[in-house]
Amino acid sequence: MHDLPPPLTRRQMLRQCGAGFGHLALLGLLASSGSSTKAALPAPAAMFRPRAKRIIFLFMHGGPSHVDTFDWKPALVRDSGKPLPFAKPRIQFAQTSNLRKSPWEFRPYGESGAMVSDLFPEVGACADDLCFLKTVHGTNEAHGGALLKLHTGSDTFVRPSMGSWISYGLGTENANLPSFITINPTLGHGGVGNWSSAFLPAVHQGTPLGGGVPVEKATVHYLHDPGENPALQRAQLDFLGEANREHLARIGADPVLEARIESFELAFRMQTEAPEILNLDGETPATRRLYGLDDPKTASFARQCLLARRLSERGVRFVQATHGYWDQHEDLTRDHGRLASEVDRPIAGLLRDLKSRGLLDETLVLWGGEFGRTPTLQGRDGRDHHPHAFTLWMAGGGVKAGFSYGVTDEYGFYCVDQKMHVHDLHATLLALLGLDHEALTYRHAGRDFRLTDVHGNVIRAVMA
Amino acid sequence: MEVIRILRLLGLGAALWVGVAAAPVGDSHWAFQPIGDPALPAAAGPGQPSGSPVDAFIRARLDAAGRSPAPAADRRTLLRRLSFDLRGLPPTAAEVEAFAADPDPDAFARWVDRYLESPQYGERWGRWWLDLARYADTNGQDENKVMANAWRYRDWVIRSFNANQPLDDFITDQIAGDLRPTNGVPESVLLDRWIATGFLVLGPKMLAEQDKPKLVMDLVDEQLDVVGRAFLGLTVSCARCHDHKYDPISARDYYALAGIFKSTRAMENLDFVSKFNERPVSTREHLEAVETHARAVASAGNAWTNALNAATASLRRQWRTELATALEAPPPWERPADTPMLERLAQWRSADPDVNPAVPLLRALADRQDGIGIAAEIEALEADSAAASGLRLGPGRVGRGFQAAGQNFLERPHQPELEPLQLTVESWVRVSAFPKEGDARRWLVSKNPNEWEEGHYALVLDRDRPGAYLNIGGGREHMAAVWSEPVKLEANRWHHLAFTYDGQTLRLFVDGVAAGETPVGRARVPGTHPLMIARRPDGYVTFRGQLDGIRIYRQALSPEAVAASARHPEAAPGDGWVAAWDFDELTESERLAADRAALRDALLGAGGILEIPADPRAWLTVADREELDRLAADWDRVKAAAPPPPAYALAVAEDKPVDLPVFNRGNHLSPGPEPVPRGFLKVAYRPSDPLPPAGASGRLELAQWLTSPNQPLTARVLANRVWQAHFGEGLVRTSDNFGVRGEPPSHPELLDWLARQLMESGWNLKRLHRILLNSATWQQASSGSDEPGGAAPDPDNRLLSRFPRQRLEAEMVRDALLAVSERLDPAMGGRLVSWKNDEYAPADDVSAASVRRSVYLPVVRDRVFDVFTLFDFANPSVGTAKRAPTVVAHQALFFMNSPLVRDSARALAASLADGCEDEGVRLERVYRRLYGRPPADSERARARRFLDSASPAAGGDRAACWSAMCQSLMSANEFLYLE
Repeated sequence: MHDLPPPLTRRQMLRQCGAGFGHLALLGLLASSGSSTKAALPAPAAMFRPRAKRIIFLFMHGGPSHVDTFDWKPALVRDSGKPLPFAKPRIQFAQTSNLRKSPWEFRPYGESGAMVSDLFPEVGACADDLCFLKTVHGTNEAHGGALLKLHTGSDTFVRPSMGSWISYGLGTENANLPSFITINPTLGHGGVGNWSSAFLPAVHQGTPLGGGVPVEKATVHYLHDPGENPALQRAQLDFLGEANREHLARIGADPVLEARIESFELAFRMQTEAPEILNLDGETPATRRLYGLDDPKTASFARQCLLARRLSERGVRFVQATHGYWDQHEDLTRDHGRLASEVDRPIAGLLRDLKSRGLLDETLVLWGGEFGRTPTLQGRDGRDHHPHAFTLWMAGGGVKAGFSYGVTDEYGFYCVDQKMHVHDLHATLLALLGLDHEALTYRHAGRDFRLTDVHGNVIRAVMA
Repeated sequence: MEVIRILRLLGLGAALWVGVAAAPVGDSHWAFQPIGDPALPAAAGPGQPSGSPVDAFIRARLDAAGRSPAPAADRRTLLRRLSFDLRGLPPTAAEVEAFAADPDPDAFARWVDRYLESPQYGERWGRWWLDLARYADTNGQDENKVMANAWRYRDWVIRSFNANQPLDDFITDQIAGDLRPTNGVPESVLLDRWIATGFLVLGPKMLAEQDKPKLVMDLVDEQLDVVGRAFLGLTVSCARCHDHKYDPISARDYYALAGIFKSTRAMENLDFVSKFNERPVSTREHLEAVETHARAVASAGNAWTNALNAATASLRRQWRTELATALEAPPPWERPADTPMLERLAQWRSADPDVNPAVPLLRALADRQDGIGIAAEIEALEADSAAASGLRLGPGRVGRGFQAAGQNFLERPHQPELEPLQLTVESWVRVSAFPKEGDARRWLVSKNPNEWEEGHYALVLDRDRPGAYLNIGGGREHMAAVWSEPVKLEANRWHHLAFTYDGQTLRLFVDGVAAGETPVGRARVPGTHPLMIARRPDGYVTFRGQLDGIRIYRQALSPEAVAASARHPEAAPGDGWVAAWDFDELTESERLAADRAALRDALLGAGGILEIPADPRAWLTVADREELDRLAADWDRVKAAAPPPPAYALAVAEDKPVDLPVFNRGNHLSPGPEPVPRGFLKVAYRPSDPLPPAGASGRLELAQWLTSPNQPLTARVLANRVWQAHFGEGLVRTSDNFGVRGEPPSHPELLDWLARQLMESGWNLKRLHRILLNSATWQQASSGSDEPGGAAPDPDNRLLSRFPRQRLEAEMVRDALLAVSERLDPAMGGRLVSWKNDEYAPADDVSAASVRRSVYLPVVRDRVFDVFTLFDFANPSVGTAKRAPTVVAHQALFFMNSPLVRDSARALAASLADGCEDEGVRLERVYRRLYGRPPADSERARARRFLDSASPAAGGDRAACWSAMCQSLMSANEFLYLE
């Protein structure tokens, strides 16, 4: 280890990475000492042809019911009230009773004829753009574990979030913004663990936008200063820059200290750009209507979806928007109804908007919760947690449109064919971005870690 | 196995056991070799440093590479470096001046001693250990519960470092503090040892994992991972699923170690959301005071209760006599209402017998001529508890039924015929009112203790939904349940309920119609506990309503037969019945019992004429009332004089010692064929060290092995960690991995020499600090001289030809900002939040405003204080060997906009101006305080330019200009980096 080549200068690094300052800004700005600088660079890019450049993950916290939304089960109607004719899983979150039909009707949409329930008429109208994944399954029947599993691949240990892995693997497209942003994240059920970079360099940590505050107040920490005085701040930065450069001249060249000097200029630019992105005033009335921004029912998630598009089109690699709380152990009919009505139009608006801007081809939209809900009844009008089979869907970003992958049994209880474990989902997401989940590794505590641990198969059948 | 066990008892087994193990691949790896005793390299080049042997080792490699060390750093730089290194704080300007002016060549060594003895040393170096111990105040993971007593562990760590506790002792306390010999050990030390074992409980745990055996094995794995990496520098947990891919650690090794932690209790319970283990850690004196107080409270309470009971008894006696007198008087009981009792009786008398069924009973009592007298009759009834809890009769579906009042039930002792393999249980039920809150389940007919126990069968209601339980196999996972879907019951209406089990399927019927079924598919195992009506056998005496026509059959009735039964409530039980209750044909003794129960209810039950009101004081004599008030006041006084509650700490305890099998692929559901005896890593075990005994977990032996001079890893790993903390990088840069995939040491002899120094000095950490800090290597400048031509390149400074420049760590950034602005509160220890134990972590509303040292701020897993996160604080969910310092734009935003920096800048500017008008002097002060040096002329000029030019932007406010300038000076690289 003593004969490593000398570290690259910043200029060499720029040339070799071929990505210009933009790429380097957040990765190279790490400029931490020695080995971790190298570790922060993307793994060698000998991977796949990327089909998507970025991801928008619409996360439905709490676990929306697959059999009430996108996994149509006529047998559930036929046998409603009868007992499940086969064994329930060894571990269950709680007891459920007999099969229970969906309170909602399903109808076919588009040329693909996908069956979508009346909870999602607007999304249903986009069915020909969707790629349903009906056999996603995890292992953990509690929220915390299932969230961590879906976000980090592990419900046992502290691991980096998939957004962090993607940031680590692809870097950023925009020097002035973080590469992984999560809008209005949940603070419970694993909390930051769901957008944490864990042992990856901290630059890959998800940057929360809001969370615990109303979405319209969401901002980046320290970005807005209540007593802001741009002229004075500019003078301060000039003074600081001069002092820092004189200090540098005194002690000799040091790329880390140089990077830190530049980081203040970058911060100053971020301070200008970020509020502009968060300000939706410039969106046309048509766009506002498209997302449902002016309807009080849909306004909140519309704002999140619109922010997701704005961040995404400016090059943020992984944007997550969270909506909740889809955990209907009781009052499924009322609350699933309410929740779906809050997101149906904004989601469809986002899909249509991305499409009309030509962004859908390179942006992968992923929708889903941490698990589905039992086809069997809990209480009077509820369904329990169900990690054994549930539905996510993807759109855009190189996936087959108007397609459905995987088959569950006639009640939607267990996966039957073309199963897709959460690890397989992760492997496939990375592959769509051109990353090989087996090659995207990070050395920590003596071991090469992966998002998919030692598991995961890329499901090529969903790729266009 | 028996032979091996005996040999082990004799201390001989180890040799045998190790002897039979195949030599694993990789055990020739350097880290597993005994720690050498290297000679100091001979002086080679000119200018050989004389002071420290460290320099000889470093110099030897520099010489070989044709490089030379940097000159010594100047004294101002050196003291700033030392102060942050040992105290985590900047030196004061006065300290810098004192050292700079001290002519003594040994002055530096005295400053090392001085800082090592300052209490801030423990705060800085304790935090160094807390990184490795993944210290946090909340659980994190899925259920982020507050660990309200974690801080005691943190404070113990700080105390231990300040007391220079030998490191082997420090390790032993954390692994096995509860198991160490206690003879002659002061109590405070015993308590500290218990607190120290919190180390094993601190980790993140999946508290809501419903697969509880998995939860336990994951916890064991977490403990092993932390212990393996912190002390051994090995990724032991890789061997959970298979033999380690690179290092000579077999899965058998893993489960030998795992057995030790499996035999250790770290969880208090494994409930739905499980709870971590704690134990009281108060002094005996304190605990005695608590006990004495509890006794005094109980005694004062008893005095009050006894007085109340006596007064109540006397009231009851008086009422009884009055009632008897009234009743014994000849009808029509027309005495004037001149006592409270007679007043009550007058109201009673006028009551409608249909509304108040007790009136005829009372009349009957009055008519009785059995000679014992009415007063004695009532007294006997009061004492008859069987009458209170037993048979009561009410209207039945046909004829009479069983009346359940939420306090009475019927019991039939166990008989084998009540345990048929196939069975039917049916009953008519009429519910008076459905429960509105709480657990709404009501057991109607049931046998064997409860639904989680073997053999339980029961007809139950959950509010208005009927159901049945059947447990075959025992335990929660073998509980079968079927709930009616969708038929519900109506209140005050008779319904027929039944369930059948045919050896395959549990079926439920409501009003003769199938209402649900669930497959079970196992043969019943007969229980041996009683059968109960109107309660669960081990509780739930809560049903209110009527039951009738209860039958138990030794076969599963067909749906048609059940339907017929529901259509014909009057029919006698059909073939195959083993027990039946109709409540119509009563035996003499049953009738007597029912009558007595009814009479008792009429007199003493709710609304009974002799019912003592909940607060009877209004009925008592004045003397009794005053006495009660006096005793109540006494009681309150005693209660108020409570000593503080006993302190608790996270701690482990011994559990039942078990040896674990190898779990195939780490899956606890597929155990290997045979248990692996508890033990240690074979590659680093020498037979002279003791193995875990049969009767204990083996943690004490684990600690002995970890700190054994025969075991080559711990001393090297710790010496390397200390080196890393002083020099930024370890001699082994992969300080958490000394395995085959780690990096080899840059200076192997030096590492062994330091490890040996550490052990031979009695694991004296402060001595090790002195060895390193007093070396010329540590004291050299960070800007080295240019590389001489022909010298081998050393881009990473592995040869240490200069001191590596270091960025302040997160806590140092914050503490330094507070210190230079004279805001830092130096108070030590304690807890800054009042969060309740085991509650979900509330928002941290303390850290942003606190001016205490950073080590005392709460560490909330998954929601770490953002200032810490920003500056690369250790992830508190995993042991952190090394923080990776980053430079990101967000940190710049923090210096530009954060309240912490802005407030500090304002306070700094104000403190400079305090009693000082002269801006030149202020400038002098701020440079000395922030950087430990006076400003250069160019800096004075720049400052003056800034103060003048910024003035318009600051609205002409000179103080604001000073604040702004202080903020920039605090944001500078010179402040954030150690030269």
